[in-house]
Amino acid sequence: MADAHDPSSVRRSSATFVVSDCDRNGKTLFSKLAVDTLTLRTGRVPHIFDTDDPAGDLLNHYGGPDAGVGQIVSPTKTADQLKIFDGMLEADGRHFLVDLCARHYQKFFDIYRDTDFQAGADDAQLDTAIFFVLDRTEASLQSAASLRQSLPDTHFVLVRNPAIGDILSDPAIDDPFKILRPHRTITLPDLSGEALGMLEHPDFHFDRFATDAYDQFPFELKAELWAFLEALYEQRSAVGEGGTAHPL
Amino acid sequence: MKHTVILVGADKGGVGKTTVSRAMLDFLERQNVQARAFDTENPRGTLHRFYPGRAEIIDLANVADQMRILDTMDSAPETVTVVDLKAGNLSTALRIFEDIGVLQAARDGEFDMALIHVVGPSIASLEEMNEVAKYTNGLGYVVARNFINETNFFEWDEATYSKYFARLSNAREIEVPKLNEMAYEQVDLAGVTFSDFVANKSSDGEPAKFSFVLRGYVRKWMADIDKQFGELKMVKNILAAKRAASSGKAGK
Repeated sequence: MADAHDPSSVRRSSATFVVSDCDRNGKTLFSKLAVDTLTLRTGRVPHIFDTDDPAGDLLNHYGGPDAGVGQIVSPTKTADQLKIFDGMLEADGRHFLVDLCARHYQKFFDIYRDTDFQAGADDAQLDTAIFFVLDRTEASLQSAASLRQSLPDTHFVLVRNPAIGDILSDPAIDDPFKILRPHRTITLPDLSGEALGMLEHPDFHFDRFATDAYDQFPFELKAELWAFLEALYEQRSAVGEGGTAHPL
Repeated sequence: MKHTVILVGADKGGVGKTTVSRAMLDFLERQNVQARAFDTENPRGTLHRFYPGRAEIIDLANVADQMRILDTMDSAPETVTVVDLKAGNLSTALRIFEDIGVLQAARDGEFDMALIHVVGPSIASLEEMNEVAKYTNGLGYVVARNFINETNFFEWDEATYSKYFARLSNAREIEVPKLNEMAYEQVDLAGVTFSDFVANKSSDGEPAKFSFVLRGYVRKWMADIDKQFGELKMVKNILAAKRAASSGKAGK
């Protein structure tokens, strides 16, 4: 798969999939971080496919489904499958983010595999990356390993969130990723309740924060948020070391 | 190489008979087996719509049309004949073939013959199996259960299921898996073969713009049904004969 950061592939499209096999583990927050990072990098908000039907939790951070930055879709509906998969393959230089609800996880990746979407993406010059937000259970770890194994040609990043409990830090757990091809991991830094509440506010956006749009924030809060972003950014640099958010 | 006649029939319409015929023709083509087809859905010709150059519309009650199928087997370049029997005409067709000695000729080994009997999820459809049983002795008999509607063929009722399926000692069963409705309709609308749809080709062979997702559904469905076709004895015989003929030609 081509490197999204290769200058010769600037016009390439990209599809970022933020997924988890469980709910309530920080997935939507990570999706928001990914959307804002892509916005910073490309100068345009990526098209969002929010599978949280009908609530559209992620889209509500970007003005809702009528704001023109994305749509609420249900991967169980064939018409919506066409919107998502065909839509991404027809993109010319556009960027997409799919925020995948746990309840659609199995169906979505059944379609991904059955249609050989990765091959279609390669033909369409669409770079793909899966960010799997790991839950606190061993079953979630097995799900991640199974997904990674079934899609070896798709960028795969394991997102660890110590705030909910990090199963990989348990020495009794046999890490199934040891037997798989190299992958990447990113660990979300700890945040205070105040900072977390700020990130989860629909009016807060990382790209605006990074361009000093929130002057009114208390110094301590700004410092904590900067430290959060820097901790994430530093994880980008370890390409090949297994610790990077490189596809973003 | 001995000719093979594959009859595809059902006494009830809408159970997926022509879909199975199309799938079989596609399968044979992908195996590089030359096959011709006859469509007895006279005068409409559903199969003919998808294979205009290969499927002839005939009236099986017409003697001249019977001759077009049966008297040309040795001279035809194709080694397989697929006959898509008109809905509601299965028993009648078998009786005609029995009366004129066709079934007996197949039993005597002059050519191979198999019946793919497509059944739907209704008692009336299952009753057909008893009706055709008297004709299928000595022939290849395949019961195709069509799961297009995700039915379960009375598997929840052991007595009913056993009554119809457990006694089929001389039959092979295959299952026609469900194909996504929108994918099925899109192929139908395009009027192309399943293979061409997957290859993104229109009926005139030009590049098409079919949905990637729907093509994926059809590709998966074809792979599932191909696997089952590949397990049938008649298909194994066809492919073995083809390999033998190919190696014979290569030897010369």
